[in-house]
Amino acid sequence: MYALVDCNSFYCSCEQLFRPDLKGRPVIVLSNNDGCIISRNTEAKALGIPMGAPWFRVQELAGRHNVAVFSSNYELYGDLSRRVMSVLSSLAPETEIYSIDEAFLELDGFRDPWNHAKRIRNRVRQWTGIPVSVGIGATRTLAKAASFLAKRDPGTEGVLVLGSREAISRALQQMEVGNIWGVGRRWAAHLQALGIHTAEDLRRATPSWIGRRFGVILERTCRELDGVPCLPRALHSSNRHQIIVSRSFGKRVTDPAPLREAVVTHTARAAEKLRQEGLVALVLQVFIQTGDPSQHGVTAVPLPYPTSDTRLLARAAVTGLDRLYHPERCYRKAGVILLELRAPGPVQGDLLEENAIRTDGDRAERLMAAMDRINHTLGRGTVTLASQGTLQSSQNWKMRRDRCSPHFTTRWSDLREVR
Amino acid sequence: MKIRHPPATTTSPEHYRFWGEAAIQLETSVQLPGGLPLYSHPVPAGFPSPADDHIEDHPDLERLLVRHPAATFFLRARSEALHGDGILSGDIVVVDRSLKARHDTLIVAAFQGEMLLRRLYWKDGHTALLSSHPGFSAIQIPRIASLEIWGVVTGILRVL
Repeated sequence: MYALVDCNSFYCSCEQLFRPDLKGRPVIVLSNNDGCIISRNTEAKALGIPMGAPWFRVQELAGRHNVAVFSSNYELYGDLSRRVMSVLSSLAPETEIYSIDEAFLELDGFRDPWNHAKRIRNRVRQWTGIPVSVGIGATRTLAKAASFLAKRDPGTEGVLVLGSREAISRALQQMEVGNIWGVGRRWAAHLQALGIHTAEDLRRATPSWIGRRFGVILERTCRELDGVPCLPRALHSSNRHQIIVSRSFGKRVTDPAPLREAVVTHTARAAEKLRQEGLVALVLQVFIQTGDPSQHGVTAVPLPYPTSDTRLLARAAVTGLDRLYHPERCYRKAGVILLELRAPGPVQGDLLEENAIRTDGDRAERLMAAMDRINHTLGRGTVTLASQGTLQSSQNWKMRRDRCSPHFTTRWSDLREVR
Repeated sequence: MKIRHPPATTTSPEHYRFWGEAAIQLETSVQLPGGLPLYSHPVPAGFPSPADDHIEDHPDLERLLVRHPAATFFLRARSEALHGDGILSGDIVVVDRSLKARHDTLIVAAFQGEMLLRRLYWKDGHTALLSSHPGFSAIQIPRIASLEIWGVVTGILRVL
């Protein structure tokens, strides 16, 4: 038995936890740079504000209905997500974190899964203040379908178990095929042309026939709907293949200086993640983008040896950026990707001693560890490379978060006040 | 290269001083021509500390104050409503959401859109939010459903 626990309107719920005055009011959260809508509470959905809509298009409607609008506060959402996941891990023998607001739990051995799901829901709500839905089924795909239906049917009170054959059939008949986990819009159109409209239709299709027409992925989905688990537990594997850090700029950037600061800052963050995973990288890729896809640039810079040293990675990033940069272009986004990740091993010495930093041996490692420790205890950005720029200069490229709520749970200066 | 080892068994203050110098010399002066340090640490060789077997971790504030990390939040008191209970404006309030509020516990309540720091009165079918400062009157709660108990206060922190 699998359970999918899914936080309801997660970002909005996080905002509302610290703002009881917003009870009953429509709330929406905007993506980076306040671009489009990425979370809506029930009241906002009822107004017909569509998910993913650009902010400027709903601005007028939002004003008329007194909608509370927030920039995304990932510091807050990340902290509350961690709390939710920690409560979940105390309630099931195995948990797989699937995204910031979803986790799969393995519930084998629980005699009354419905009862346990209720307990999960109540516990998460009480401890963290975040409302969740729980869907339960014999496979991950069925659990996901159950949670989808639980959210939409108030009669379920947020918990739905797809146990018996009849219950599964009845539930899947109410679900369009395009709403099944892993079935994209293109496949959905294709399936409907073949007369497969509901999830139940897909469950009844012959898996091998589906496999021949659509490939192994949809064949697995088809079997999973029929109660045969065939998705590997690979979602969260720590064997990462790459680390990406990229951000859109708050405004267009043409000067090389802010561009360089942004790229070095992203590199520093990527290097920190790399060290957290205990890995080193052999290749660094830099990319910069304008509004015009034909002007998008990407380049790979090999590193002298596998490393997680921010200074070496930053040097490579700047080399790459200099190759890509055109003075007459307006850039809106930059990023770095670390590739060829591996566990650190013995390194061949550099015969020509070209890389002065390298000869420090484990001093570099200790320096990076010290930097990480300081930034962890005193806050991100306490110790940085000079080339990352200053708080002031970063205003030339940092993303916009005009409507961001305080970082209630991660900064002493931002604690919620009580009267 | 000058290395003088301290006698291992003498413990007079003078010898300690001498030992300290030797350690510094070891660290700074023993270098191979290529720049690689031969020794990077002083090598002490005296009595082992009699306290070694009794070393404990320092008292951990976090562990003292936070019993349920996933459910514990820090908030900032911005009123004197619980002055009589020793909670002053500016204090950091430790709030545990996993605990059940009972009659006579200090709580953070969400009521009419506000977050309030009060003592819960909840007895004989009567609910109210009490204060321990003469400037605040008790808030009567006609319907228990209109009150949300946000969490139970388990501690305060005050940096002087």
